[in-house]
Amino acid sequence: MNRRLAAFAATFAVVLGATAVMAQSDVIKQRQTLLKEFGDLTKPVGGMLRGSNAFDLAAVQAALDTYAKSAKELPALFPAGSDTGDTDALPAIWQDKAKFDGLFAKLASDATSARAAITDEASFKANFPGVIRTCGTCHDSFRKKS
Amino acid sequence: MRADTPAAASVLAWDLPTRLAKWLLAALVGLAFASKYYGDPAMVWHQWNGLAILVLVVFRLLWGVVGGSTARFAAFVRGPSALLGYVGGLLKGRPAHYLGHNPLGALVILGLLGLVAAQGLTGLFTTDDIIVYGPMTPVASDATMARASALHQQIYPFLLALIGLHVVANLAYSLFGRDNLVRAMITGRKPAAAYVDRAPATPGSVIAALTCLALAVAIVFGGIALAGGNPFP
Ligand code: HEC
Ligand code: HEM
Repeated sequence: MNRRLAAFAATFAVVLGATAVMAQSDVIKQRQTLLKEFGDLTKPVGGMLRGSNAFDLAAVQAALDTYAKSAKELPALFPAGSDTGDTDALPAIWQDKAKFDGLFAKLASDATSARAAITDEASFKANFPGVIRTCGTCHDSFRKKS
Repeated sequence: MRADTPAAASVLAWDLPTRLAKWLLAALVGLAFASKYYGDPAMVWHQWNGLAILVLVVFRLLWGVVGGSTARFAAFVRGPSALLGYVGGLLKGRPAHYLGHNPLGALVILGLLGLVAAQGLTGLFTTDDIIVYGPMTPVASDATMARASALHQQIYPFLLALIGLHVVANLAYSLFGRDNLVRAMITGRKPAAAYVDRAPATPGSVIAALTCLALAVAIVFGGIALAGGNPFP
């Protein structure tokens, strides 16, 4: 646990430090890479929810761990002014950055509690949908529809 | 059938398959919105509902070729001069009396069918980037999915607006016009009278309707499967 925490803190520091010196376009690319990873990890888990993929606890846990980890890094990857260029981020983010960051915080804490609660397929079906509801809530108000 | 009882004074306007397809389509379009907002998070219901809508639209296109006389596109889609003539009459408060669609209504019908088809087709390629992946997304590029997902969200306001116009126009004709179009679309019959188009309508055959339905199912589900998609959400 301690080692994980240390590793996490280190990543966090590196990411924070890195963003500070990085150009705007790199910030955009970086957050899109993390969010794309969200999408790629969530897709097979969605199949499990629908019953078209076999339940795979490890894959569910990997997704939840990544949500918890990246959701803490993401707020810093949306610095003011990074709404121009090749991005789907809406200016609304910076009109209510607190609410936007709060949604990432909610995703992280929901993912952490679901990680503990999910032990089998039944607890997965009961707990997972609530976690990913926040993805859609945020996209509805803060992400451009391309 | 009740061809001879009180029907002596009424004539067939819409055959049964046309009416069933129309009201089923209206119900499914309503359910599409309900399933979006109240359905399951993976939108499995919404996707089945959308596939059913596509089947009905394909059915209606086929029925527009081999169906009852008032359902045929060749009979109800008219040229610009008929359209202008009709609009002129309407503006003077004396619209020409049609048994089937009038030339202006025909445009709305084509628009409705076109928009419903566009909404359904884009839905095949739509994803929310979270857990909803439409039937054709396994073989679509990221760019195609992004484009289709955006269109799926941009088309429906126009569809809603056209449905609104369609409902208001039909209610207005029914309340202030010469015959009750809404009732005719339910019972299939209109009062015997002098119509611009041929009356009574000739109904399409039940065998033809069932064949069109089977073909429509095969086209929609077979088409998705042949294109490499997964037709069963
Ligand atoms: C607090 C807001 C927020 C939350 C929560 C959120 N997203 Fe996003 N997401 C965004 C924004 C904003 C973008 C657009 C980023 C850009 O283009 O710069 C985005 C983009 C994406 C993309 C496209 C990335 C790309 O460019 O290829 C995917 C996939 C995605 N999100 C998936 C998810 C998933 C899955 C979840 C939940 C586990 C989630 N998001 C939660 C705000 C959010
Ligand atoms: C909810 C979505 C709806 C859709 C997508 C829809 C679609 C259609 C379509 C495609 C047709 C053409 C029928 C054909 O010729 O085969 C039609 C006709 C018709 N619809 Fe709708 N409809 C909707 C709602 C309604 C409602 C709520 C009413 C009632 C007020 C209504 C009344 C009619 C009438 C009366 C006709 C015949 C029009 C005419 O006589 O020219 N529709 N509709």
